Amino acid sequence: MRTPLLSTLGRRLLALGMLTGLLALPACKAMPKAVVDLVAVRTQPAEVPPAPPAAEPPKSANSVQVLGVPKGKPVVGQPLPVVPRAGCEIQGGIPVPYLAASAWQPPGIKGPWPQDEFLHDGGDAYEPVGVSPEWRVQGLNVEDTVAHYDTIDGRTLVEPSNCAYVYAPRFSSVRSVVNASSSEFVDGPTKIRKPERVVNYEERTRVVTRTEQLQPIGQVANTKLTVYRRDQQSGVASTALLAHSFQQTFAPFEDLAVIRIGAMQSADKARLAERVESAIIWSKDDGVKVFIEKQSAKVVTGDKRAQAIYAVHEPVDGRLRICKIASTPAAQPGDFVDFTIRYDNVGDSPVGNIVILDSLTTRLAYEPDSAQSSRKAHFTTAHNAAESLELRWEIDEPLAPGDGGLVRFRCKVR
Amino acid sequence: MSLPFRNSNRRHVRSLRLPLAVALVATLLNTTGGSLASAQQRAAHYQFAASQQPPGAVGAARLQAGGPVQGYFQPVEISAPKGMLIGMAAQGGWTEPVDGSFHAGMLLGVPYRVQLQNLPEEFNSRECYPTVEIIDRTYAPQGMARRFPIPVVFNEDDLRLATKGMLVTRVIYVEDPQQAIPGVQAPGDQLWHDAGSNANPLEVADRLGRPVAIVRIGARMPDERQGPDLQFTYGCPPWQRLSAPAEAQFVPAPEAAPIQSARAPRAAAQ
Repeated sequence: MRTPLLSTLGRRLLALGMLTGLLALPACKAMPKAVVDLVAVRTQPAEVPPAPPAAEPPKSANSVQVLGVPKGKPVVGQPLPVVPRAGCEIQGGIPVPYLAASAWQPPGIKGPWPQDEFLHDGGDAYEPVGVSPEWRVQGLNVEDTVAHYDTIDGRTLVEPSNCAYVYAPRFSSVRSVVNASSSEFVDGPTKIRKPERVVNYEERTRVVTRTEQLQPIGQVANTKLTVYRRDQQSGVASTALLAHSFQQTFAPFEDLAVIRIGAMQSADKARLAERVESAIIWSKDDGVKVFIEKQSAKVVTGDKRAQAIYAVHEPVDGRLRICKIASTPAAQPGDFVDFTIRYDNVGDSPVGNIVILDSLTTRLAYEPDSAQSSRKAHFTTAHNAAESLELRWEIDEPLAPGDGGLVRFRCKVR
Repeated sequence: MSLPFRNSNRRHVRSLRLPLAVALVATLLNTTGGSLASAQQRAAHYQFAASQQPPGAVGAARLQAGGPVQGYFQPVEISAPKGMLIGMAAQGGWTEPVDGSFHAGMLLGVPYRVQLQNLPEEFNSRECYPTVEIIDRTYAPQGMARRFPIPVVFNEDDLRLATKGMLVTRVIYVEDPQQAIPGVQAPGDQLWHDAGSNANPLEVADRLGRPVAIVRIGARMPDERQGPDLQFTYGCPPWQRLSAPAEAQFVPAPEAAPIQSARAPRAAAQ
C-alpha cells in the first residue's frame, strides 16, 4: 500500500510556510531584486502608461553657468524633465492638468515623498476625533482640523476637513568640534625610543544655550473642551467674532466657487485638480474630498484617489461639509500663511452647535487677532502639545440646509 | 520483529520533514526581513556612516542607494558673516569673491572647496577653506528649487575654532516637522546645537531629521607654490552658478465684490 508523500498536516504546514515566505520577501533586503520586484508588481496597482515627453521650455534670461565642464558637453543636473500625464495639455512647456484621472507621481521619483519638507494642517490623522456626551473632544491630535455638530435627531457628528499642504522646509544643523593631540616620549640613556601614540581625541565642546531636541514619546494627555473657556490669551476669555468684523472681500487664493458660494463649478476643476494633485504628490495617504450636492455621480473605489464623489439618492439628515485651503503652496520661515475654512450644510435638515477645531503644528504660530468668521461665533485658543495653539470657533446660530460660512486665520511659519 | 507503531511514526515523521523545513526557513526570513524593515522604518539614513569620514564618502554611499539624485545640481546658499568674502574652486582656480551670500548648484557625493577671505584680524588666519559635501537633495515643487536652497551658514565661532587648528564639522539636516523646535528662525540664521563629546553628529542629525549636507571647517591651506593644488580642491568638480532668487512680488488685494450669494450671509448692514 502506497503511503502519501505528505500527510494532511504536512500539506497544511507546507502551505503556511510558503505563504509566510512570500509575505516576508518584500521586506527582506537580502533577496534578489528580481524576486522582490516580482512580488511588488503583483501587489501594486497598474501603473499609468507614460505620457509623451513635454515640449522644451523656452529659454529664460537667467541661464545657468556651469563651471568646470568642457564646452559642448551636455549639461547634466538640470531639473527633472516634466512629463505630463495622459490627457494633459501643455501651455508654454508647462503641463496644465485638468483632470485628476488617477494618482500621479512625477516620473523617476518613487513614493513616498519626503514629508519632512511639508507642513500639514487639516484632516484627522491617527486616532479619529470623537465627542463624548459631555461635549468633551477626544483624539484631537496636532495638525487635525475637524468640525463637530449636532443634528436634529440628537446625534453629534464629526467631520474632518481636507489636509492643506504648505512646502516649508526648515534646516538645522548639528556641530562637533574635534582637536587631535599627540605626544612623543624618548628614553635617552638606554637608547630606547618609546613613541606615544595617540590614544584618544580631545574634544572641545563649547557651552551654548541651545537645548537639544528630544524626540517626543507621544501624546500623553488629551486636551479637553472644559479648558477652552478658561485657557485664555492675554486675559481674553473668549472672543466674539461678529459678522461685521469679517472681511467681505475674497483673497486671490479664495477665488474658488466652493469657497465663495459653497458650490462646485466646472470652471474650478482645473485649479482644484492642481491642488488635489499637489496633495497627492505630497502625501499618498490623504486626499481632498469634494462632494457635489444633488448631482448624480459615479462612485470611485480605491485607496489612492484624489477625490471621491458620492451619489445622493435619498434625503439625508443635516450634514456638514468642511473644506480648508491655504493662501500659498510654499513659504519660508518668517512668512505668513492665510488659511480659510469653508463649511456648508449639504444635508436636508438644519444642523446646530457647530464647532470648528484646528490644532496647529509646531511650525505654525497663530497671529493674534487674525481670526475671522462670516457668522457670529465665539473664538478661543488653547495651548496644544506641539507648543502651538488649538483654535476653536463656536458658531452661534444653526445652519439651515444650503447655508454655509467662512472662518479665516493667519499663521506665521516658524 | 518490527513494530508497526514505529514504522507508521517513521513515515509520518518523514512526511513532516519537508513542510517543517519550509516553515522554519519562512519564519527566519520573516524575522530577518521584519527586523530589517523595522530598522528601515526608523529612518536611519546613515546608520553606519560617520561624519569623520573623508569628504565625499558619505555622499558616495548615498548615490549608491539610488533615487533621483544622480546628476542633480542641488541649490545651495552659502552665507558668511558680514564683511567676509566667499569664493569657490573652479577650473583650477578660484572664483571672484563676493560679499553676502553665494548661490550655487552642487552635485551629490562630491566635495566642494569653499574659500572664505577677509576673516577678522584677531583670528589666526585671514583665510579659511572649508569643504561642503551634499549628501541628499530636496524635493521642491517645480520652479521653487532656487527659493529653497540648502543653507550653509558660516559663523565667526566656527571659523575662530577652525583657525586655531580644530576640526569643526556641521551636519545640516531637514527638520522633521513632528519634532521641530518651536523656536523662531530669523532670516539668514540657522538653528543649531552641539552634538556633545564622543557623539557622531551625523547620527544625531539623522535622529532629528534627514541630513542633507556636511560642512567641514579646518585650518588646512592650499599649496600653490607649483601651480593649482587640484588635490586640495578635489579636482574642481562641476557646479552651477545660480542667481539669488527674486523676492516675491507683492500682490495687492483685488477689489472683489462683497459676498452676495444665497449660500453665505450677506454683508451686514453698516
